[in-house]
Amino acid sequence: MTHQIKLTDVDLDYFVYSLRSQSLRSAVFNLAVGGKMYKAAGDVAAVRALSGINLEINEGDRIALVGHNGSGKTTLLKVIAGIYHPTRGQMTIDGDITSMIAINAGIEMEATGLRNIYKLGLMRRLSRKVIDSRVDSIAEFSGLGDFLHLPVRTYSAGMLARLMFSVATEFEADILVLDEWLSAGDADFVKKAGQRMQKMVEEAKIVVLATHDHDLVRRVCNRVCELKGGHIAFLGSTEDWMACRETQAA
Amino acid sequence: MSSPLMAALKDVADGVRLTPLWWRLGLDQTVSRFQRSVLGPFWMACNLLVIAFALTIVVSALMGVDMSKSFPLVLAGLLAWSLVGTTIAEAQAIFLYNAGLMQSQRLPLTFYVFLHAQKAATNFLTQLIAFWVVMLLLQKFVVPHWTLIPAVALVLLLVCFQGFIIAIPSTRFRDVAYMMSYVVQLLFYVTPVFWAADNISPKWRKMVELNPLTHQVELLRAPLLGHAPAANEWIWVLGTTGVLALVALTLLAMFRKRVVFWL
Repeated sequence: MTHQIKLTDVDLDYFVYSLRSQSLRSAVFNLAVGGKMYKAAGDVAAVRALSGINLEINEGDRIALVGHNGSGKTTLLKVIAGIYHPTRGQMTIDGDITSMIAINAGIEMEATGLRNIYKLGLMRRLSRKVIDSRVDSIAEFSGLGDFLHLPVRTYSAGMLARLMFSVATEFEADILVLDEWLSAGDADFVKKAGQRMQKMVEEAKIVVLATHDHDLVRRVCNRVCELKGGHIAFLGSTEDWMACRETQAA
Repeated sequence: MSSPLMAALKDVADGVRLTPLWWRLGLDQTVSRFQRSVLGPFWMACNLLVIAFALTIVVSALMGVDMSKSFPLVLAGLLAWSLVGTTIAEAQAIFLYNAGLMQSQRLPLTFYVFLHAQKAATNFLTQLIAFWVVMLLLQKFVVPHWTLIPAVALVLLLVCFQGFIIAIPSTRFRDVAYMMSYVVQLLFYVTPVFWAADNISPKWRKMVELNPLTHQVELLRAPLLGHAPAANEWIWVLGTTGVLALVALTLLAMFRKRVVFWL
């Protein structure tokens, strides 16, 4: 089976509830970030977070989503992960998706790192046996050592990122969706993570990664999708994107 | 028009398919809720016993009924209420409690409703054990009637449909969420949980009869006290479940895609 993600003319509106849309109206015109905000009925504001997205991601693609804050990267990730249904348009996905979008998603702060590995494995519908057999390798890759026996609430953001990434990539997934928190890890870990993603791609899987780290994009991804105000501003290979940026800078 | 309904039915089917997952997650959430406490879920059972004793004393004093007779009735009534009434109050948080999970993993809405029912069932089971222990200690133990099993199953099904109906509006309008705890308190007093319907004047009797919760409590209480519930109770609860199922599916079909944006 070949894995593929295909989005056709996808729009996504956020509805923000229980705020005075009126008072926001003035803010709409000098919005430095984000998509287009428009007024919906009553006490509800709507934000057009994505509009007219056409995107085809095929097996073996490691695609980076780039763009400034509020350009729609995380929203697009959530659409791909099936968390948000497109307001308009079509989306088809072939393959099992593993998404690591929020860094603390599914993490229980009071429980130890080790228990959280089991919990995250459980949420991936894995049997205890399978998790048992992989737990050592997760512990080793994360480099957390004895810290795994401490409650997660004592972890730093980087340690949490290590734990999450190690679990996310240890178990086979057809499609891996990652948000930018990966860069919370230190240089050492980001390098290790890059190698691991390389390995995943060699096993012909899809990786979708949102990031601000252009170095990471260059090392890990072969395609780039740049978002601007909810539209696709650039879609092509990493080399083309780098070249495009250089001409813009010049 | 039929496609949102099909999507809603698919949502339910996906929820059923994920049974091993919500089963384990429900146990996990129950355990972690009582983490660092020694008695764990049995704290809920202690709560049941304390309230049962208190209410028995009050009711016996007020109405002049024999305490040894009213205690099993009150205790079984409260036990039934934990499944019938308390779940109404808890249902408002079905999606809100799992907001983090809903925003990071694709799971059908039905999954969270089943999770809620699983936790309610676990809670009921621990209280049931406490119920039997206390009844044994008081030498009032009666072998439950076999209809307890289908009765609990039917009420759990009702709890699921009811879960959708309460959780969907509560997520959109947070006032509903706050309101539910008051509603449940009110329902607790108008439903014959700690008082017997026989002691009521005929005029009010009608009101009690028309309260669907009366029949849900009775459907569970009768087999707990060792006799089969009347056919009338089965008809009422089956009917209520059917109506709630229709409303729940309609809500699910209409708002399934929206709920995640309301969190």
